[in-house]
Amino acid sequence: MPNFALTPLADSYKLSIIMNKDHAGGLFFLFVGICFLSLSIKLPIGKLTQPGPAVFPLILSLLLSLMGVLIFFSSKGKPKIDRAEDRDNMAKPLAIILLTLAFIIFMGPLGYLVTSFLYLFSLFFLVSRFKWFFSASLSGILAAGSWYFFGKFLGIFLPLGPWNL
Amino acid sequence: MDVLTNLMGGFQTALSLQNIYLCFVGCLWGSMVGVLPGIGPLAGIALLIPVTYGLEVTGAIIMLAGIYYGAMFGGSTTSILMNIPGESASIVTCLDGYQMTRKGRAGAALFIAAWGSWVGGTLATVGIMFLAPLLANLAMKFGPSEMFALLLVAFFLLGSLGTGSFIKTMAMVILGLLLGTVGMDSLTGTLRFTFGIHDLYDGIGFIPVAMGAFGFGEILYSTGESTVREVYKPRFRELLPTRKELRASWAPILRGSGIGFFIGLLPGSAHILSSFVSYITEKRLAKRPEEFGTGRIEGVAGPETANNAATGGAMIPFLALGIPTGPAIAVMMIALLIHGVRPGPLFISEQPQIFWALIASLYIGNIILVALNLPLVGLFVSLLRIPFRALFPMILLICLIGTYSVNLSSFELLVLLGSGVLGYFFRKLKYDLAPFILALIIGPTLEETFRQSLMRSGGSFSIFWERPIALTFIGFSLLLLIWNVYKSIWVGEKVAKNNVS
Repeated sequence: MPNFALTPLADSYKLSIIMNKDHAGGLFFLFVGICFLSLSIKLPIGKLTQPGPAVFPLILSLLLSLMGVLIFFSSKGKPKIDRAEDRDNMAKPLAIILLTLAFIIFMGPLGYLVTSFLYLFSLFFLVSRFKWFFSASLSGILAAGSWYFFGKFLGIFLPLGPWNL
Repeated sequence: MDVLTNLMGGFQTALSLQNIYLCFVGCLWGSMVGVLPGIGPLAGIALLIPVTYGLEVTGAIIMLAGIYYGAMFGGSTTSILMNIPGESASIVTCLDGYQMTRKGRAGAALFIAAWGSWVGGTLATVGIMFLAPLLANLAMKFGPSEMFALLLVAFFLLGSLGTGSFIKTMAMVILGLLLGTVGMDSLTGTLRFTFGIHDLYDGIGFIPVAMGAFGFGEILYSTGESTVREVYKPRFRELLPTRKELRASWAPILRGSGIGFFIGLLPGSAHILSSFVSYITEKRLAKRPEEFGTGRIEGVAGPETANNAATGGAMIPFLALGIPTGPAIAVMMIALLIHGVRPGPLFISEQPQIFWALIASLYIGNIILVALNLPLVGLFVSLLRIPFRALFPMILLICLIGTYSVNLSSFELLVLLGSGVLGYFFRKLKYDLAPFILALIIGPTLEETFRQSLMRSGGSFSIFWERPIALTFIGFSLLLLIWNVYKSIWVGEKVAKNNVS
């Protein structure tokens, strides 16, 4: 089971749940299993002579939920997640995730060329911490090069954006 | 004689200028992909899928196979020169390969790794030539119940041979199977878990999930890396091993070929497993096992041969049964499906010219790889000097464009991103992603064969034990399940006792 700890914080206490990796994994599988189970029971189950589309997802979601429970309770004695270390390690991945989401959202409206340049520039400058001039130059070359290679040489249709690039 | 005649026909096709060029490009790209940490054979194959669109199908499959083999060849370079595995199967090569570098024997290690890989790859290709058609003929006698039972064995083997615990691996398998049910049910046309999103009607795209989980997720995980590593650059003159090193390498190379080939037939992390088994075998057979880890040539020769032979072994179930045994092969399968080629029991009989051209190209590719990897080691080492923080933005962009080019769908980019986040967290939580990816691609076939079996038998489960092949496979699956449950309980008790003491 996860441990519960009360940490003194000024005049009150902060309740933290100290989990380890298996707790997190187990809860994830249990959650997904229950979601799929609730959706599967709405599908037609069919007959034994003609099993319906609900049968397989039902069995699998029950099994997945069971796996989640087993993993959760098998985690005795494992080291807990170090939240401070995790927070430090997640800053760059989080930045990359958000920038990639922005790329996906804006690629259609702004076009591939502009969006890829901005995406690469943000990654080089903000995440990799190169100087702005180097980031801009490299981004320009790579964005233009990829636009030419994929769009012109391979003939893949890339979004043009409002400037028809 | 038939085999030789077919092989000659295959060489006739494979030795065209265009196909040799495509094989060369595939091997070169694969070697570069194998050398660069952070981008594995799966991403390497997926990224080149758009390039294959304009190619004729034989040329496309030759190039994709070149990448697959090349990545296994290339992975040893960084293991030996930098103590960083270029891809996961080369982890073991770091143990003795890097120590040989520190003793000034990097060239010999690289030469033996390349030589062993060539021998392993060539012998495995001989195996494919004879075994794949036999297995395909046998598989044509399979009905849905036999196919279902065989896939069940594959999944339980995945659980047994996975790098994590059995329960965790099975959880990943079941998650993959469950996500494989998203989309239109093939038997009734019912939409499942699509939430009205048109892009999900055909199911969750395999390429965005694979690229996301392995490519994108790997980069998210690696962005914390900031250490500067020393890279040793051997001169061409230093590449030759001594006679003693050559004599010491022969037996491990032959043993590694056998070990790798047979383990490659099994689903899961065959490359990693084959190189580990080979290393342990060489250590057990050595007169002075305590010297392993200090720069023994056997510690490089055996594992590198095994992981290349496993590459060949893995092609057999893929080509003959249509069952991909690893994530990179699964991406190759998708690439072939895009070109209208379906690997499986009918592939060899209906499209023999493609099959035999592929076999011939494997022989040619193995030679190209030896010729490439040794002289070009300087070029590959230069690639390694590019800091990861300069490389990963381009890799991310190529992942995005590679995925977008398949169906021109922004929704699939969101799937890639979501899979990347999932892959990142699974890596942090120490879950193996390969079983999840394999289950995603094989899952629909498992369900279809299960339901078809019941429809054929009028709802009776006896179809699974009245047919002898199905019964054998189901029996083997049950044995695997019981063994793994017992092992999990036994290991769990041991861990608990150790914690208490």
